[in-house]
Amino acid sequence: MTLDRRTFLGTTGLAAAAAVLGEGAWRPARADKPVNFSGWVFKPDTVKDYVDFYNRKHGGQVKYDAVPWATYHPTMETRALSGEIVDVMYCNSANRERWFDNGFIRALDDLPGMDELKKKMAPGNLESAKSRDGSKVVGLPYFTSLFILMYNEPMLQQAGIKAPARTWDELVEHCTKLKRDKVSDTPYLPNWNNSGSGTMPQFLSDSFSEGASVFDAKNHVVADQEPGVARAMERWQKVYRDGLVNPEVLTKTSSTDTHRLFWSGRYAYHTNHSYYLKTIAGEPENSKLAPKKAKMAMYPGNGQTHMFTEWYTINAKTKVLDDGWKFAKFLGGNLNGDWYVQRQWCLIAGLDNAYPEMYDHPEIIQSYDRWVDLKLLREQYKKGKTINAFKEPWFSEWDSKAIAIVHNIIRGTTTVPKGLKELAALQKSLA
Amino acid sequence: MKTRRALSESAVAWLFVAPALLAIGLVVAFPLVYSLWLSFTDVNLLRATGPAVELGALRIPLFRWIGTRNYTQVLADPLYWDSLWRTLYFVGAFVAEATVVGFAMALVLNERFPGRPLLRSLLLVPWSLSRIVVGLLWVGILDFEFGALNGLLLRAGLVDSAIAFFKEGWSALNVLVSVYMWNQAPFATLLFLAGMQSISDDLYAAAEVDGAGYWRRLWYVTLPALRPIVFLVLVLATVNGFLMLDLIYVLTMGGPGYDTTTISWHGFKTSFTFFKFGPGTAILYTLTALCLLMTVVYHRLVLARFEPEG
Amino acid sequence: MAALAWLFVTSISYQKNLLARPFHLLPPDVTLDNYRMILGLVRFHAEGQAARMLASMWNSLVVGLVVTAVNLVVGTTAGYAYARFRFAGKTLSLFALLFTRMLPTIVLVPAFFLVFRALGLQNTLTGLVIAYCSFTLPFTVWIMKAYFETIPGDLDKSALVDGCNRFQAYWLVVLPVSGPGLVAGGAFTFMLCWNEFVVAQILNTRPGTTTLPPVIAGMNGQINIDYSVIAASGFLGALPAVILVLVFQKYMVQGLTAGSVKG
Repeated sequence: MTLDRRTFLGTTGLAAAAAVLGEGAWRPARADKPVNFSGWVFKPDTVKDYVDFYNRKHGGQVKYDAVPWATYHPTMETRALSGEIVDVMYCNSANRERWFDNGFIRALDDLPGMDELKKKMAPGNLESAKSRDGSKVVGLPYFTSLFILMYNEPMLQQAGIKAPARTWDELVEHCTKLKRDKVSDTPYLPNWNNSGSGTMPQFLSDSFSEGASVFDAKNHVVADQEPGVARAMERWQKVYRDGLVNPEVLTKTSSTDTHRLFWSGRYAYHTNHSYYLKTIAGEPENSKLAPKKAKMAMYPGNGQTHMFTEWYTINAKTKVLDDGWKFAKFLGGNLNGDWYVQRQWCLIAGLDNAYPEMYDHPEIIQSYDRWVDLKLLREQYKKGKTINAFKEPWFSEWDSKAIAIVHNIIRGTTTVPKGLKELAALQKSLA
Repeated sequence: MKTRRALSESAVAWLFVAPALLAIGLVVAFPLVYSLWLSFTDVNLLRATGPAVELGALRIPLFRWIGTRNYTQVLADPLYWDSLWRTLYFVGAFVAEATVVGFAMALVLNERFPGRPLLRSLLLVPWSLSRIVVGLLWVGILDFEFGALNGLLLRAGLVDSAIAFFKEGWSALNVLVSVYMWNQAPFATLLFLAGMQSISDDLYAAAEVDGAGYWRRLWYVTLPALRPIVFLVLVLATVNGFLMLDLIYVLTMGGPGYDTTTISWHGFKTSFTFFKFGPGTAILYTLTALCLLMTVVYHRLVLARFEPEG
Repeated sequence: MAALAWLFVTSISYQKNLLARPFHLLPPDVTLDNYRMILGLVRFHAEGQAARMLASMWNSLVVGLVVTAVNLVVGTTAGYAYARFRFAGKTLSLFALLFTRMLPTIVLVPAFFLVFRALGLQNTLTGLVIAYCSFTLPFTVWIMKAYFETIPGDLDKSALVDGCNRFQAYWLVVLPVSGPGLVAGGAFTFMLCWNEFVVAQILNTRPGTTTLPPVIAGMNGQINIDYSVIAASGFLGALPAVILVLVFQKYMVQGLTAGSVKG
């Protein structure tokens, strides 16, 4: 015991000294031409493993750092504006076109091997990968996702509910019953978090599932003219008013934070990005709903949900284009024919993929079977609906400011028609 | 002889203050003026060319002058006015809480009781914490899922379900006020205590002879003597209230909705999330104007009035 | 105080016990793992983030010490002059100082951002030192002025009679008896720097160049880090300032109140 303690203190001191001397400002940069790589925080340990693997196997000099999701894009813009060059960067769809317009990132069409990758991509993903005018590909896919409905099977069974809700009315009905019977305080967990991956994708999904559009063909916001959007919003007001949701979802700062609440088993229904079902239903060490006590059901309404892809992009000012591109292909494509990172993301995190051939791989089929009904998931994918409005220069600011307006609708501090008009007016003020 | 001496004193004095004033001129006055300039321009952070001030290798961009357009745009936004009223409420509530609680703690700590030395030495701890840590710590207490307070209330059976402190904008804003108060009131207490101890015991003794009870003594002896300190506390709290940003950052990010968005947060977001430096500096400059107003008030009420005594 | 104690309790708890209901005020199991994680002694899934703790503490320390040193040298001298001398422009410059003390620092940051970009000072500790002087220096001058006013003027007068010049009287006679004031001003400055968040968050975005508060805030905004680990980093980060205040409290109270009570 004493020995343990002494060893512990000794190593603490050493590690502290090493960290100060090693990680501090004094260490000279040894790598002569490193590729700087930044991403938002999603399983940063896994990304670090990929980078280590790449540096070892492909003789790379990649330096990776992760930036918190909530502030990722502004932080990366600050870094670019301060003159720093990060060669390879994650970029979400809401910001990608603006980054391209402003000259932060470059088109990839002229780079070796890009044409092949274009052929391998699913058509919808390829369309999303292109710039607004459709002439250039500006990113390689990191992952694709869509919103799905998940349910807590034991809880529904306990309450005598035989099948998960097929319509929104049914879902509200179930939740009302569960609350009344004191099975759950807050049976429904919608992904209304404060970040770019929360409230607005949920808003688009529920609007789509009501058969409504949010943007017209010219990418103008028409949410205020669509009865389906209004229906969705009235439902949101109701579940909020009736206390069927955990109200603090509104101040969560990420979808990951939000989905962890579902681990507790205290909720009946959850809507979130598909890959979160993997930790919920597949990680017994974390989630009370694993293994496979949480399941997915087809999205209510007409089954359509919002589908989107996030990207790897290359800095327009990079001084190591060849090395950077090689690394980007390692991440977002098949370097030397190997889909290593794309496949690993499917296996490790359940991230869905822009390259359909991934789903023919037996290892992947087997892995998905452990946490989801893959057939149903692919079915849901067919009903995924993408938007093009994200390519408009005003989109990221609209997307970010719209959150507060939608939150006001949810909380009933503004009426549905008034709030939806504000969404349209906001777009006009930015365009 | 006499004049020469006076002159040289002035010169020496300037030698003494010159480094500080020079430094302040460089790190405060210059950025202040430059920010003011920015608030009248169309700042495009990506454009390296255009008008600029060149000082050797240093090239400070001036951007395109657009007059008061940033201000008219900012002031036309209802969000600005909502944030302003919210800021005024926040500041008012914070000043009231910090002053009252600070004063009450000072009254208690001014009495002799066992444990007073310990309490007094711990008094400053909340004040010495970074507000990032303050925020974290209160998340641990107030959180809906794992907060200690909710845990205790549930366990004691006082509530049926956890309280969502950040659910309503109104309650979130008041939680912010209270948490900030927890952080800042100790400093007010410190000032009050110092003031109380400088009140001569004779005054109390005299009041006691006159038959004044505890509350009367408080009202007729303590409070009048503390007037300058009350003013000081009020003004410091007012200014601190206007400036608070970091707690919002860790606790609410201005939400839910815009319900905890104050002027400083609005300006911060506009400048550093949307990178609109023009409108951003315009918003922040209106905040600066408010602070300047407070300085004048401070000067009038505290300095002008009490300097003759000191 | 209970709040701080709870932060400590949290920092030695396992996340699963924090989430457990019914709630325990004292954790059923105690662990130092959260601290080991942020000190890099055990591997865990977000060690890359946590590893920035020590480097950023070092940055905070450097910035805090340098700013404190600058403040004490420059600010104290000015404070002395304001306390002792009558001179042309005194009232005006004092008012200007008071005004800068009331200034929202955030309004200066866009200017710092652009100027530092031109100078290459973004993402450097030098840049932070410069920016931090903007809000600490007026404070220090003010505190020191008030402190020197509590030292009897006869002291320097007799030094002058003994043949010292003004500077010698200040340097050799007044400063040596001003320990409490210097400690108060220094500790206060250091504390402001150690705890500052917004400026560092904006100006130093490159990993490894920023100070402690943005790193802790980043962990908080970061998914997949247990609250208990964040609590450990918060507690560790708070310790230096808390210890500083506890140790020098007597002087800080003296120095700060000497300044404030007089207005």
